[in-house]
Parts: sequence; C-alpha cells; structure tokens
Amino acid sequence: MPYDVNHALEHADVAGWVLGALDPADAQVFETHLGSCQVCQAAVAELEPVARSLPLAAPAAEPPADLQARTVAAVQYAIMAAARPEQAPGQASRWWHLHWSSRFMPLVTAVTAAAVTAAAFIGVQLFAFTGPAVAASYVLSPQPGQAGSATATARDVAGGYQIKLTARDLPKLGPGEFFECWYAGPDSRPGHPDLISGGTFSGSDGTFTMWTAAELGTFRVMEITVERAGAGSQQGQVILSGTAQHVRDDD
Amino acid sequence: MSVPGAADRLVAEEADLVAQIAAGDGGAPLVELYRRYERRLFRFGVQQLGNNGLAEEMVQETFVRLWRTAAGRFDAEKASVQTYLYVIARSAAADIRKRPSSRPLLPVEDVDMPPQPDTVDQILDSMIVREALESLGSGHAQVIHLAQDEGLTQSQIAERLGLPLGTVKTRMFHGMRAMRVALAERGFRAL
Repeated sequence: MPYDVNHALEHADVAGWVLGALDPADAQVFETHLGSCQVCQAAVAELEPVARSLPLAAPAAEPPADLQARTVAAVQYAIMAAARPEQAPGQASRWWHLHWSSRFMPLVTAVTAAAVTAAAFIGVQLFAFTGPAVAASYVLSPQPGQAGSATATARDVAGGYQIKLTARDLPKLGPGEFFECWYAGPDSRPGHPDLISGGTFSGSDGTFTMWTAAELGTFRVMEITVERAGAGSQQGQVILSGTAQHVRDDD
Repeated sequence: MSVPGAADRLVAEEADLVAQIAAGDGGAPLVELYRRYERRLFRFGVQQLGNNGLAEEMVQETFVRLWRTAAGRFDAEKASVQTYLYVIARSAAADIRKRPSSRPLLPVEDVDMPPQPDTVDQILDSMIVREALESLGSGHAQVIHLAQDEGLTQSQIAERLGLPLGTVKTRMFHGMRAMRVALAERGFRAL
C-alpha cells in the first residue's frame, strides 16, 4: 500500500505512535485503527526508521570559540618541535656551538624560519578566524631539564582575560603541590621578580580555565611553576615558559 | 538536495588540502579542514569522552596527528579525508580515555556516558542525525526533542508549550516527515 500523506495527516497520531508520545487513550484508539489501515501501516513503516535514528544523534555541543586558535597553536608547536634538533639533557652549552657550525646552519635556518612563520601565522589566524576577542596566544615549552608542554589563549572578559591552557605531560605533583601560572614583566629576573599570578591548577594533562587582570601587552611571558600552599610568591622552579605570540594593540 | 558530482568534488578538494599539508603547508589548508570538521569532531569527542574539555583535547590532537601522518599514511585512493579524520579522532579519543587523569572519579556505573559509536559509519550516522535535526524548523524540532529526550506525551508537550493538543500532533507529524527527508538528503543508510 503506497504512503498517502493526506490520509496520514488525518491520522497525525502516526508520528506520536512511532515516538511513543501518544497519551494512553490516543494510543489505544490509534492501535485499533492501525490494525485495519494499510495506509497508516505504510506510514508507520516509513517513520519508524526515523524514530530509531533519533537516539543516534551526536550531542548538540558547540566547540568553544578559541578552540581553533588553540588547535592551530598546537599544530604549530608540533611543527616547531619536529624541526628542532634533538637535545640531550645537560648539552645546552654544546648546542650553542652546534648552532654555528656550517653543518647545522641549514637546520638552524629552517628552525628559525618555522618559528617566525608560526608566530606570524598564529597572529594572522587569530585575527582572521577568531576575531578580536582572542587577545593573545601562547606556546609554552619546557625549561631545561623539565618535561611537558602547553598551549594557551587569552580572551577578553569583563575586567580582564580568560585564559584557557591545554597542558600535556606535566610532571606529577607531590602532596600539597599545585601548578601556578604567572605573567612576567620585561624586567623580571631571579632576585627581582616582576610577576603577576595568573591562577592555579592541579592536572598534569587537560584544559584548564583561569582568569587574570594582568596587562598582557607588558607582562608578555607566561610561566608555569610547581608551588606549595602558603608560599604566596613564586618559589618553585619554572617548568614551562612561553611568550605571547600575539597581543592585541588596543589593550 | 545535493547536486550530483558535488560530493565527489568535495572529496577531491579535501584530498588536495591534505596533499598540501603533506607537502609541508601547516597553515591555510589545515585551517580550512579545521573549519569544515570542527563542530562534527567536537561533537564526536563529547560523544566518545563524555566531557567537553577532553573533547577539545581530542580535536587538537586529531589535527596534530593529521599533520604528522598526512605525508606517509593518507591515501586518497583508499579513504576520504572525512573517513581518515574520524579514524584519527577515534584513535585520539581512545588514547585520551586510557590516560589515568581522564578517568572519572565516579564509579563507571554512576557516570552517564553516551553511547559510543564503534565504526566510522556509525560515527557518520550520528553526525548526519544531528545535522538533520538541526535543519528542522524550531517548532518541529522542539516537539520531537520533548518527546524523544524528555519522554513527554503529546498532552504534556502541549501543556509545557501552551499549545493546543492538535497543534502538537500536526507539528510532530510534519517534523518527523521533514526529518525523514533531511536524513535521506544526507545519505542516511537505515531508512
């Protein structure tokens, strides 16, 4: 029996029937009708697969606006890491010499070009694809002897910036320890800190949201340290560090 | 309704984007693919991992792995970019799920984890159903949502929305008909 939409519309309960949404009295009446109506049987046969499809629907979640910037930053970090020569722990002084030997000059040139391209690219992407609400982007690299990496974006919010930081493989924390994010000013150095705390978090992997009112155009360097409760200032060693790849000029 | 040949052109265009990435361009081609798949991959991540933050990580990791593997492993003769991306995404989600820090604090039986598609076809089906639902008019989508997701009867929906019962019945009917058309247009297999 072919499907007849006009007939089915007279028996619009066919949709409620396949969805199990009819009230009990309506369901009883429609079930009786269905037993003898081939048109409605055809309508049920057409709509049942639709009803069965509904639980398959992917979640209606929307990705955050700054995910593109963080994803681009993560890929650019991977590109730079792939171009970077392998460096064993404790070889920092030798690495300097390797830089200037003619054998490694093409590699050095490639790394430098990749870094410059990445910085420019991230800046362009932030303006071109996510709009001015993304104020800065960071790629944080491990300090000598440290492990892990992170990317972060800063977005305008009322009274400051929301920071979303995605960390990977940070060191395991001991009892009472936590990670702390800092913004370092241009004159900050050991013994003369010029720092603003940017929040704390406790996971070695994951995406963490923090807030700050630091002037990112001045405090351009983001640092991650391991701290303990009660210190109140930066006491721990810097494990990750990165400079803002782009800071909007109208701050 | 899709134009004949448009799907083939899209597949070829995306294969070309991956070829550019494989040739070393980690810029505009990668961003273009990101823009095309961001929402679908993110939703797949939420479906697989049950957590928006982990889904964000999965999306980032998917594109990092795409960049790393585009040159050596992607073969346009064997799979579309769409299929390749979902294979990567499923692998990335599996790795994230195995990570100790990703494990839920609650016992597994207490966590309301969504069903997790096993194959790329199932993943694509779930994306098609979501997109078809989003193509419906808001009035049609609303009554279907209330029946399907909240388990309300038609009279309860009428009361909730302040509508006559007959209006709910006809909206549900037209909504389900429109949903069938939307699924068919998107190539949903199980109709």
